[in-house]
Amino acid sequence: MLRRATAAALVVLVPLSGGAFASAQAPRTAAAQHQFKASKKSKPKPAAAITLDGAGANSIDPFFESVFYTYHQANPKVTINYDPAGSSVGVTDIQENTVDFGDSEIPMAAKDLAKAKGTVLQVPVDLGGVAISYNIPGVPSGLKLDGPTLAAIYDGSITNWDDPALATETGDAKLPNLKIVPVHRADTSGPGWDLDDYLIETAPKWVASIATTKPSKAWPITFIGVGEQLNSGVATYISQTPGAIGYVEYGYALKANFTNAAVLNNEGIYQAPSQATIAQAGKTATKLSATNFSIINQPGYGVYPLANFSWTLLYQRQASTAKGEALQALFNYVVTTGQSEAAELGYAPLPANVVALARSALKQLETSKGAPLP
Amino acid sequence: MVEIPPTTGEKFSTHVPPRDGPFSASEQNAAVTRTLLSNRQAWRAGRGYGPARWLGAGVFAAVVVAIVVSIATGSAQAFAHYGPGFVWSSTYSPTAGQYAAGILVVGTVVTTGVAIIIAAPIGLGAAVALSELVPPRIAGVASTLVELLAAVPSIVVGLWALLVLSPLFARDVEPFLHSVPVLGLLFGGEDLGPSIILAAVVLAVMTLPTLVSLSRTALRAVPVADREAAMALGATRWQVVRKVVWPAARPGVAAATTLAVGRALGEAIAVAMVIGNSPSWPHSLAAPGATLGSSIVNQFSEAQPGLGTSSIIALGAVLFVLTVAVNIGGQALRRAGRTSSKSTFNVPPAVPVAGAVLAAGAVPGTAGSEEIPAGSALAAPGPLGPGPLGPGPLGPGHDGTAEDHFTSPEHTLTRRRRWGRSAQSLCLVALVLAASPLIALIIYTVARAAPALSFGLLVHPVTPPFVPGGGISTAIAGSAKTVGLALVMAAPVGLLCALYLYEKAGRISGTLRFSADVLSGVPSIVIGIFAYEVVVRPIHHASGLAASIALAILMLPIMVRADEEAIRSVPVDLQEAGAALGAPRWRVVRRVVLRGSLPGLVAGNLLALARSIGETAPLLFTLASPTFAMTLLIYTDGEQPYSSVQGVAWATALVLLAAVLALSVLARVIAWSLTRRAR
Repeated sequence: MLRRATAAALVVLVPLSGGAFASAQAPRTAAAQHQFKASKKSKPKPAAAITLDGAGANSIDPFFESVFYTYHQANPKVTINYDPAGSSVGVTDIQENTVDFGDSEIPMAAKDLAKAKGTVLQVPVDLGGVAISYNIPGVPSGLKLDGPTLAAIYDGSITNWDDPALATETGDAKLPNLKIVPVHRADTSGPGWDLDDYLIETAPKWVASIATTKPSKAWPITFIGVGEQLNSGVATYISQTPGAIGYVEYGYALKANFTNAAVLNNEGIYQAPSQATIAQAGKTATKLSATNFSIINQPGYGVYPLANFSWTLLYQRQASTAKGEALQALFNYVVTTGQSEAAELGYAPLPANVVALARSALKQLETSKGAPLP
Repeated sequence: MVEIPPTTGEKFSTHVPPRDGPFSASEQNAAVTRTLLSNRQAWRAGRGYGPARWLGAGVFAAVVVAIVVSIATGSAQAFAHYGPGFVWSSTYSPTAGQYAAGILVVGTVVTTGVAIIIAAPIGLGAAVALSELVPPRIAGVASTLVELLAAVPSIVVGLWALLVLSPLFARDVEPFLHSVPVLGLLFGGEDLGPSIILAAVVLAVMTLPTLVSLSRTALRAVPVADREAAMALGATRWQVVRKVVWPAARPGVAAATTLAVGRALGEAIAVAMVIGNSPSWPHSLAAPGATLGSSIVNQFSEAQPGLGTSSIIALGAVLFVLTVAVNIGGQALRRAGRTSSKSTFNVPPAVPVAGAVLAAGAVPGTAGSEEIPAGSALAAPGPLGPGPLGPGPLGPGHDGTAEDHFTSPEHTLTRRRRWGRSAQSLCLVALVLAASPLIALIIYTVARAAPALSFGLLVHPVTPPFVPGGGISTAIAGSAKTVGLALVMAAPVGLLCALYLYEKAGRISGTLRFSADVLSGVPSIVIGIFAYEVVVRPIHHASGLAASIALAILMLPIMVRADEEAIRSVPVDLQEAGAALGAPRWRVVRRVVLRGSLPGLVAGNLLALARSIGETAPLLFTLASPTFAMTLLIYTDGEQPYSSVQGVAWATALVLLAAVLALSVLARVIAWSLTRRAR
């Protein structure tokens, strides 16, 4: 009896620990693969498999996951892991040098770059928008919001959807008697920076209440409404809560079938987020650079005012030439062919001038000795 | 024991046929004789035994020291910069690396406090029901069930709380709490869902099984004779519980409660999922809040290198100190309980207790018809007590007799029975309350997972959301690898350390044992930080190795204590027989001690494995992608707003639950076969 029980324990234990080896032999079709490759070094292959680990912006995650998956299907030897923990994590991990690439919605500023362990190349890789999504039962679409109204919602001066100020602004007199629950990001975020920037530009009262004109990745007024982690947390909360309104990457809002508010742009037109309006915003970025990156509230009739580029962060000098080449090839693919996947996921393809900018940045990748990559 | 090198070993057969049967003494002795007297080479091989033990103990001690040192040095910068005021600061400014430790400490204490206020009465009631009220057969099954529920991973509870409880709280529970007079004052503000009260409920649900099973153990430890004595004095069932069992079991129950407090303090992931993450002074229990653990989960990876990271580690240090203090308190309580229960052998507890029953006017008329005066009633049941009946305790009994002249025995008996009955039904309600959330959770998980679960899901790797044909095999394999490697690292160290503790009594062993108890109470998120600091940062890469090391550290203290207990269960006379036959110590250990304790060892290690496979926090900062472990996949997929992705999270939760429960059941089966064999 005893012996049988012990044997049974072994039967369970062996697949548990031994599963490691079995799965290492399974065909590698996943975008994500586990670390313990060393255990299966017995069959060395001529062109070694490469694993690229990245971390950063949460907003780009649907796009990255999809494009990395496609890339891995075409290049099975390259495995890419991406941890969408947030833009700040992308910056921090690059500074700590614990990833092969980072990604941030907001490029690293001079003081961030100073903390890095070498020159960091910043490559624009996607063009996305921030949706103002809401969950008001019986109001399927058509909500219109301008800066001052949004600011009033987020600073707590408007608390109910039937507030007259809201009816006047939105042009919808039939908003229900329902408490507004403004949702913000509890972590630091690119979308938060974008909305903060928009409110600073359009709502003087917002500037008064936050007492600064510098947009911040950390949401400035945290005691109103509820804070959630990442786009997914905000989106899940909105989907669960009648009366909730929040800012999420358009890609998430699109796939979750959210209703999004039309936001007043610089020309006085209400535009809802869509691939077309976000693309229009991208076109205004004629002199894009890591220091001149904001396309918030840009002029143009068809422009959605809350749009942004996402930036991949790479060390110019790559410790491993093989990895450097793999990164270069991967991101050349991402900014060119990979852009075709953007539209379906709620992003707009990069404008031609930005693609050129990205490619020229990728050309600057170097070996550890400072020579250009072969 | 003296090591005697064998001199005549060559004469005997060295081959031992494997034995299936129980340790019947004669068979055992014959086997020992045959196997122990073996050749000189074996003795030489055994010379490594002493150093190996030392190594085990040394590695264990080094791990404990390394954790303390790493947390101390990691947080040094923050404490140097902010001074001790960091601990009670209320400034929250991530850009400056300031994380409002004061607010978070208060948030942690309030959340845990509310959780325990909810859990303690329910847990105690359920334990009383299991130990005293329910028929033993049912109680046995129910207790096993409760113990299995304790193994439900916190991430699964968190997922359920996030997707099911949170909307429920926003819609129904919080408005209701609002409307309750007086109590409603505690629940002011908006009804948002994520809140301190929701987090507290989650913690209560998670800690209840541990609380119930440990309290039940404490209640069962009260001698049956005490109960019988009180019964004979005419106490009702409930009075036995109130006046006899409860006073004796109180230290044990208190220790169980402190352990639950320790677990609630350190829980990070499930709390982070539902508390709303708002670092402000808790002005209302219905408002979002933040705890030390939840803030570490959310802020550690995005903190600015340098002061910011150091501040987060400092939060970990504060949490570390808090939980260790609570755990040491719990150990002290348990020890105090042990000594006091020892002393009751000399002064029989039943007698003073019986006196107390009398004082409450409980005694006269056991059967109702025979009216025995209180004084004489005492004389008869007295000898039923476990020890000599001293005349002293009779004193208080006489207080009761005065009262009894005014109340008829039948009347008091009816009143007492009525009291008892309502109290007993409350306990049964508590039992239902304690078990039902987790049972509901399991049923709900099965229901939600069923549509998503398929064979393909189990064998296909993870794909991006909306790419068809995806599965969770990456996560299953990842979890198995991480946990398997952790087991390979921890099991030998744990066993050798346990052997050291077994062989050497003394101050070092005492310290090691104490460290094991302390280490088992350290929050897993702190261990996660440690693994990040000692592996990920130096090698500049997230790595499965770091995750495995973290899990191994979590397993280690459980293994050390479980292994030691298993080893101690082997009868000493068998070992002495071995030694008397001239076997070197190592042979005795290998052939007698280890062989005899094998089922116990396997069971203990399986339980450690079951615990670590459900861990999330230590993997958060150490694995390169959330698809590398089932728990992380649940954590990220559960938060996604798409129902198909949430379905995958539920399916993963079910697989995880099944794995954890299977391991726990297996461990129990092995332990059960062990006790059967011992009989």
